[in-house]
Amino acid sequence: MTLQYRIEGSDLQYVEMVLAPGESAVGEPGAMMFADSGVSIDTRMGDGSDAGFGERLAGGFKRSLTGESFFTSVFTNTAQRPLRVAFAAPSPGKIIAVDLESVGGTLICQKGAFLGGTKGIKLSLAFKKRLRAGFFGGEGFIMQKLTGSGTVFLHASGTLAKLELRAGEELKVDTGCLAALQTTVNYDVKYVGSLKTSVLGGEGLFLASVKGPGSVWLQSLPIQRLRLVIAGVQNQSRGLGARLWYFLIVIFVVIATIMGKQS
Amino acid sequence: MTEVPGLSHGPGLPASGVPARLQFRGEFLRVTRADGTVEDVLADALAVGVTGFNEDTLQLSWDRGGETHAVTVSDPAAHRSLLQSAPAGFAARLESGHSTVRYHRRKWHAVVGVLAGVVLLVVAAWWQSEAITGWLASRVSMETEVGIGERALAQLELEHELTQEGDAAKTVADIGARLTRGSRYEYRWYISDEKEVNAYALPGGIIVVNRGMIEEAGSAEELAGVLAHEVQHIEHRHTLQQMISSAGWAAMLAVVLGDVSAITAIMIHQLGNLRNSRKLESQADAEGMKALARAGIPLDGMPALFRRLQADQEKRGGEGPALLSSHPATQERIGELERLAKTLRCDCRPLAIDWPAVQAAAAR
Repeated sequence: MTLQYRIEGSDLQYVEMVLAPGESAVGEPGAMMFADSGVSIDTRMGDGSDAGFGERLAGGFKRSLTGESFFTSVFTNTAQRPLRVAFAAPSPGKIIAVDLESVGGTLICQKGAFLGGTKGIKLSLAFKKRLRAGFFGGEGFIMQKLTGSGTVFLHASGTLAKLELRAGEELKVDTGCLAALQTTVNYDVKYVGSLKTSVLGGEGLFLASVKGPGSVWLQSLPIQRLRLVIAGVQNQSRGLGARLWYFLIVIFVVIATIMGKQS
Repeated sequence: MTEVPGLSHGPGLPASGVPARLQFRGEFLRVTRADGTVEDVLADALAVGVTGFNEDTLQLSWDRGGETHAVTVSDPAAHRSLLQSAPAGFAARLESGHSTVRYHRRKWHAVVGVLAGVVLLVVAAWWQSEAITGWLASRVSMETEVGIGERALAQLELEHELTQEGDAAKTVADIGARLTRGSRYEYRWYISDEKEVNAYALPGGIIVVNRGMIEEAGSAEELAGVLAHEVQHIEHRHTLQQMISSAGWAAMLAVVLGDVSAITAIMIHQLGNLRNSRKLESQADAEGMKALARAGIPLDGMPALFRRLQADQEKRGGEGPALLSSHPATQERIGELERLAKTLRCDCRPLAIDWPAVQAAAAR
C-alpha cells in the first residue's frame, strides 16, 4: 500500500496525504495543518509504534535528542472512505518525500528534518562516530535515523537537491548543507586545503565530504544561516568578524608551535 | 554456500542501489539483484573498500567498460559470512577491508572509553576530594609546611599587629604548651590586635588568637577549649588541606613539587575565608577534647563558650562573631561537645590563672 500524497506550495510548503480507511500516518506534534473530520488524532510517546512503555519512553528521549518532540501525533482514518491530513513545513524550505525501501530501508538525516510519514517508521538516533565530523561537519554528532518501509516526509530550509553519487564518487559540501544521506554514503570532513582559502574563502576551515555510492540530499540554506539573515545580522558568521577570529586562531597556533619547539 | 544481503550500485541502476544477494561461487562473486539480473565477477578483479556513514559498510567494487560497479554490505554478520565463504586468494584482501571496519569501530570505542574515563576521574576526584587533598597534605614535607606558615605569618603581620609579648601571649603559650606536649610541631602563639572574636591556625604550628577572643572568653578554660580545637587543625593538617583544595589542583601540584613562592600569596589571601568541612571540624572537636583531657584541663570550656556565643547571636540577631561563621555552632555540635565533656575520663583541675588580669593585659 503506497501512500498517496501531494506537496503544495513553492517555498512555504505543506504536504497533503490521503489516508485509506484504517490507514495511519505519524507526524510531529504541531506539524498538522488540517485533517478531515473522520481522522482521529492520538498523541503517543516515542515514535508511535505499539511497543512497551519503557521502550516508548526511551524512544521519546532519543527523539528529543534528535531535535524532535518527545511525542508523536498519530493520525488514523476511522471512516469508511479516504480522508486527507496535511502537515505544514515549520520554516521556509522544501518538503521531500523519500520511499525508505528505495534507499535500502534506512535513511540518515539532519536533526529536526523528519516531518511525518507512514505509521511504523522508526525514528532513532544516528551517532556520528568520528570526532572531527561531529565537531566540524556542521551537523553535530547526533543525526536522525529513519528505518522501516514506507514514505517519510523530510523538511529542510532552502531548496533541497538530491544528488546521486556513484561508487567512489566524492562531493565537497559546505558544512551544514547536508540534509540527508543514505547509509552507504561515507560522511567525513576535510580541511579546506590551504590557509588562504580557509581564512579568506568564506567556507570556514573545513568542508564536509560525502563519498558514494548512494544518494545525498543537500539544502541550499541551512536554518542557522537563515536565522542570521532574518535577525538582520547579515552573514555575520562569514563576515569580517569571523575572518578576524580565524586570523587570531591561526596566529595563536603558529605562536604555540614556535614556543613548543623552543622549549 | 550462504547468501548475504547487500546493495548493488552501478551505471544504469538507481543511485541508491538495488537490493541484491551476494554469494561466492568458486573464484566468482555472484550478484543476484532484486530485479532478477545476475552478474558474476571474478574475485581477483574486486577492489575492497570501506564506506558508510560510520565507516561500517564493506564495499566491493570492480571496473567494467570504464565504469565502476560496486556492491555494499552493511550488516556485520554478513561481513563475517562473506569472509568465510570467500575463495582463499581473496579472503586476505577481504579480511583487510573487514579489519578496517573493525578498526574504526575499535577506535571509536577507545575514544568513548577515554572520554568516559576522564569523566569518571573527574567525578571520582570531586567525590573523594577530601581524601585526595588529605593525602596530598600528608605528602607535603614539614619544611614546606613551615615555609607556607612563615609566609602566611609575614603577610598577616603586614595587616595586623601580632605579638608574642605580654601576659596574654604568655598565658596562651602556657596553655598551648600543655596541649601540645610531645607534638612534632614547634608551636608559636601570637596575639593579634583584631577585635573580632576568632582564633585560627596557620600551617606549620602557628596559632593566632585575636584580642577579641580573649575579651569574649569567660575563663581560661574556654580559651583552652578553642586552642585545643585549633591545635588539632594543625596536627591533622586541616588548614593545609583546605588551602590545597581551595587553591585548586594546579597549585597543589606546585606545593607537592616544593615551589611555594607564587601560590602561597593566593592562599594567604583566602586564609580568613577558609572553612573546614563539617567532618574536619568534628574531628578537631573530638581530638581537641581528648587533648584537653590528656592535659588535665576542664572540658566544659568549649561547649560553654559556644553556647554563650550562640545565645548572644540569637538575642542580637544578624551576623554573629567570625568564630561562629567559620565554626557554625549548631545544636548538634554543641550537644556533641557536651556529651564528650561528660563522658571523657579526665583528671581535671581548673587552671590556676587569674583570668580577669589576663583580659586586662590583652586589652592594653
